[in-house]
Amino acid sequence: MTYIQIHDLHKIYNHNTPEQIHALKGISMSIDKGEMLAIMGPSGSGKSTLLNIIGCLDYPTDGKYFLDGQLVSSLKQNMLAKIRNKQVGFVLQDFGILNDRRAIENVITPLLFNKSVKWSDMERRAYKIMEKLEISKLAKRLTRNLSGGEKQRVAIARAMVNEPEIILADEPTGALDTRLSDEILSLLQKLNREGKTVIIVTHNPNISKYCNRTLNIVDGMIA
Amino acid sequence: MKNLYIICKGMWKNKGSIIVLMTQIMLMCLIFNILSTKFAYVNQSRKMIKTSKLDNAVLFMPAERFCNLIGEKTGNTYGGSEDIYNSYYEMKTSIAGYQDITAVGTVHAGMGLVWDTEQQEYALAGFQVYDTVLLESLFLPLREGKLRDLLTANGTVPLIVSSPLSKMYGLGSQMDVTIGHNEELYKVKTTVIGVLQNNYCYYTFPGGNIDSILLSDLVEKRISHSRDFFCILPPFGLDDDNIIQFTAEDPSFICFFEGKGPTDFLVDQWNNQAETEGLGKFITFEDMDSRERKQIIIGNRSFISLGLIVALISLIGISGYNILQMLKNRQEIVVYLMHGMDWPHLFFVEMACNAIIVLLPAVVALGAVKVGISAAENTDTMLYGPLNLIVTSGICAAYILVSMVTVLLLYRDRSLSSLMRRDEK
Repeated sequence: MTYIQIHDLHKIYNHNTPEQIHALKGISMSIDKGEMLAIMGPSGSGKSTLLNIIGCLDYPTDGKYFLDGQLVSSLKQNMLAKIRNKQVGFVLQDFGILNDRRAIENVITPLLFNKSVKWSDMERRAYKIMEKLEISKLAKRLTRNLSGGEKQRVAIARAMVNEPEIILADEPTGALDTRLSDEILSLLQKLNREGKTVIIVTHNPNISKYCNRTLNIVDGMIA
Repeated sequence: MKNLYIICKGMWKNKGSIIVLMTQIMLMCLIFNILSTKFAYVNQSRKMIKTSKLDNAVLFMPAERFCNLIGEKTGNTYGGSEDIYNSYYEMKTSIAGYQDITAVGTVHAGMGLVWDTEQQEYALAGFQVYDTVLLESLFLPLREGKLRDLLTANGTVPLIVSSPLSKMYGLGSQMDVTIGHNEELYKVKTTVIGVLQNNYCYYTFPGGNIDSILLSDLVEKRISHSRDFFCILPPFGLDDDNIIQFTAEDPSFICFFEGKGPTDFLVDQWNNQAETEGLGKFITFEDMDSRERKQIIIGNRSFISLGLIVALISLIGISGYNILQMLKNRQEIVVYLMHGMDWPHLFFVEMACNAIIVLLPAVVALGAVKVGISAAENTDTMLYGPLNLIVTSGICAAYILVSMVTVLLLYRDRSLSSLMRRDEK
């Protein structure tokens, strides 16, 4: 069942200026529900741009993007914010964990913007997901004192706390050694087996072995 | 609760700069509130002039030679120099005969009154009108009773009381007040004939120092030491323990004339005549008002400059704070936006932070000025009132506007991915 459908997607930064950059040049693709997909390519190939558009962080310059049958490329920003909150979980390489806060405070972040979750239920829900990822003992610790692997688990817990359908991971193992990378990828694989659609953007070819499918992007186009 | 959490987390991160900024805003609010109290004090007289039938009147300031001894005239005896009084009376008659002048009216300045000898509370009798012409022209905001009854002697001294005092002494009730006379204290029976709307201000109009022609010197307004205990009495005295109303005049007096509003030409004409005759000087209420305001500005030049400098620094500061907030909290903002915060919500949070930074010190400054004025023993140049609220609200609105513009400019490019890229750089 197709969950994400992209048709002739273009993204041009600094459009109509001398500094114009054509980051995506007519990408068309579809991703099934429950798929674990690796998007690979060299730096500057446009893979993170594609992930930003899939994650509703950015608008395409041209083309259509359907998420679960809904045309999201033309939705207003507040609607995109709702989609980001309810349907998408983000795991980033070294960005996104607030180091001056405790692990549990990081995990509850998406719940702050989920109107269906009460303030009093937030901590309980965060603990539940942290227990599942076996990091509940880290809950009260400041994230600046956590190891890279622990931080990334906290990031995954945060991505999962609103029970989204898709998890988007941008170089999730970029700052980790091989053993920790395997742990994190196994964890993402586990979530995928539970039915989550996982999309990983990476330039590390070893990650593709964890995924059902690999998509190569070169110079803004699918190779 | 969620919003409060987001706001507190954001502010805590920049607590140092917030404290500095709040201190600046509080200092600035204090300065402008103190200045407001001074202007508010002057506004009382302007309000009274406007609400009274004084649009066809000007004030006359007698020459210095008439001003040295104008005291009480009781029956045929006069407390001061008979010669001065007689020449003063001639001068007044002469002025009354000037072209277009229809009447002159005089008010007696305030007199001390011991309210209760045991508590040593006292109030100044603030508005002692004995001139029918003037009484009919002046407006005093009475809640009950008639101002005209001040002229009615009915065996007791007619009295107008303040609103708080009227709870104990209502209209028609009698009470004893103690007055000092010839270094002795006497009990005087009074009857309440009116209750003032205004519960803490009263006017002596005109009065005070007559050496200068500034409004503050002509129109004296005082707040009594004990706000709940002041009253308005017509001039009266004691003679062998009997109450008698006496004629006591402030040297300056009000001249009424035909038509509405004196022309500059007419005032100039009167002034030329009075100067030639060596009698004194005419001055319009508008002129007095502007002189008084100018005097406040001149007298507080360095204070106003300090306020403006602090205002400028803190206005730059609040813009700087918002830029700093964006730089220091950018990762946090991106994380929030990424996880479902929308731009209006971000704007709301930023504005709520700014509102706290502005409103908290402004309210503290406002409260401090109010408490300070209440506690001060001598507040006869300051008046806390609606002007303080207006000024404080204006300052807060200006700061919130500046911060709103800064926030809008900072986030004018509402692209989350570009915000993320900027952070990566």
